[in-house]
Amino acid sequence: MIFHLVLKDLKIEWRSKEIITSMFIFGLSITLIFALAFQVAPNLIRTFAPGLLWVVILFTSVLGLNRLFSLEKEDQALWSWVAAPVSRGTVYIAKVISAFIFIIMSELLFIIPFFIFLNLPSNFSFISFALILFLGTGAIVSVGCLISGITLQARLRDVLIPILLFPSASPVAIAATKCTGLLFNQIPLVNYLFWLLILGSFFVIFGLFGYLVFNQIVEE
Amino acid sequence: MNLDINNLSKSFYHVPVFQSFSISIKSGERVGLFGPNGSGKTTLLKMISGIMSVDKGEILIGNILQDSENIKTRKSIYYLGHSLGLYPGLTGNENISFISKLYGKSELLVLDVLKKVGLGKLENKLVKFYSQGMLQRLKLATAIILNPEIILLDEPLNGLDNEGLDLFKKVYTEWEENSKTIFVVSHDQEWLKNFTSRTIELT
Repeated sequence: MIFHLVLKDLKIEWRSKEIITSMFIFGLSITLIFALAFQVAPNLIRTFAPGLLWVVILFTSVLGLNRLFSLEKEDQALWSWVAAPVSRGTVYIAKVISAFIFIIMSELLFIIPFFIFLNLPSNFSFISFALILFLGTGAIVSVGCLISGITLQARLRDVLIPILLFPSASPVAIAATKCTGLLFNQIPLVNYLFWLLILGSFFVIFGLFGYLVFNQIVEE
Repeated sequence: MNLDINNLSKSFYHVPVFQSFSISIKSGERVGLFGPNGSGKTTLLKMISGIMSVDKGEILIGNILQDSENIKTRKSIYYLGHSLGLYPGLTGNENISFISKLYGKSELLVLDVLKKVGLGKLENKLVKFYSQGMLQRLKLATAIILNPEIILLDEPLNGLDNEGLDLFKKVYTEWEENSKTIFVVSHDQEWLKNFTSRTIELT
């Protein structure tokens, strides 16, 4: 069932290319603003780059999550699965997977310009970087899909998602920034395992919580 | 399959729409519902289908309590409502195949049913380009494929042309012959009197 639900999101995105394109362009725009703003102090960039990277990821994630859940509100398409004999928790898991795919794809597109525009060195472990991106994005997505679900029936959902997501995801942003900062300074992975554990815990705990409560929150 | 509603209450922003509302519909019965705008007709159907939560009271689908945790009851009901409940970014065929999978039904019948409702040639057209009448036919096709025991119809004749109306009457007769429990909301009281076994007015 999860496969069919994810496939539906992928099909819609494949046709419209709305989510990934808008996230990429938005991410690129913020990157350019940061690059221009930090031109006066290029030596500070390396210190601030990990935080800037996760700010870009968090902002673009809001855009993607908002659009992904807006698809369900268009012509009340969500009624197709709200009224169907499927666990709504399954729908939440499918949304987490879809959102994760879209956000990771947009990250892959804007991370290269991010390093080029901010003139950052790339002499670090790409495997560790991929692990941080995987866990950080997963944690943002599991919290974000839960909040998007809660606000699904709200009139001011476009505004509510960032208002609720930014404080909820701040531990994720802090942990991911710490990991990325230590990685950029070529400190071995064992020294930031604690922060990776926080990211992983967020991913799993919010994922399970979302699975359990999604049933109640999507009803009108 | 029986449908029993006992002491149902529902409010919107502290304004009660239903207060201790009860009704019992026997298996195979066709019940019409009419009333002025805002009387809660659509709200009632949405609560029965599980789209909307209930404040108080209970809805029993074949003696099983309808609640958000119970997915079994939802298999027996289909709500053909005002809003689409379909994805505008998917084709007619993809939408119906998707819903069929959600209900554990075979996709093999999709094309045949689309042909039956006159949408065979439009199966690969995105739903956002469908006209109101085509959308109504598509929803009808979904109801035919899902073949539920209880069918909730909310203004089913809206947007249908003469050919569409004939098609609807044909499908409705088939449901009648197969003893489906039907709960219809319509402003057309004449139609309700002719096509249902009893009518209820909501005030």
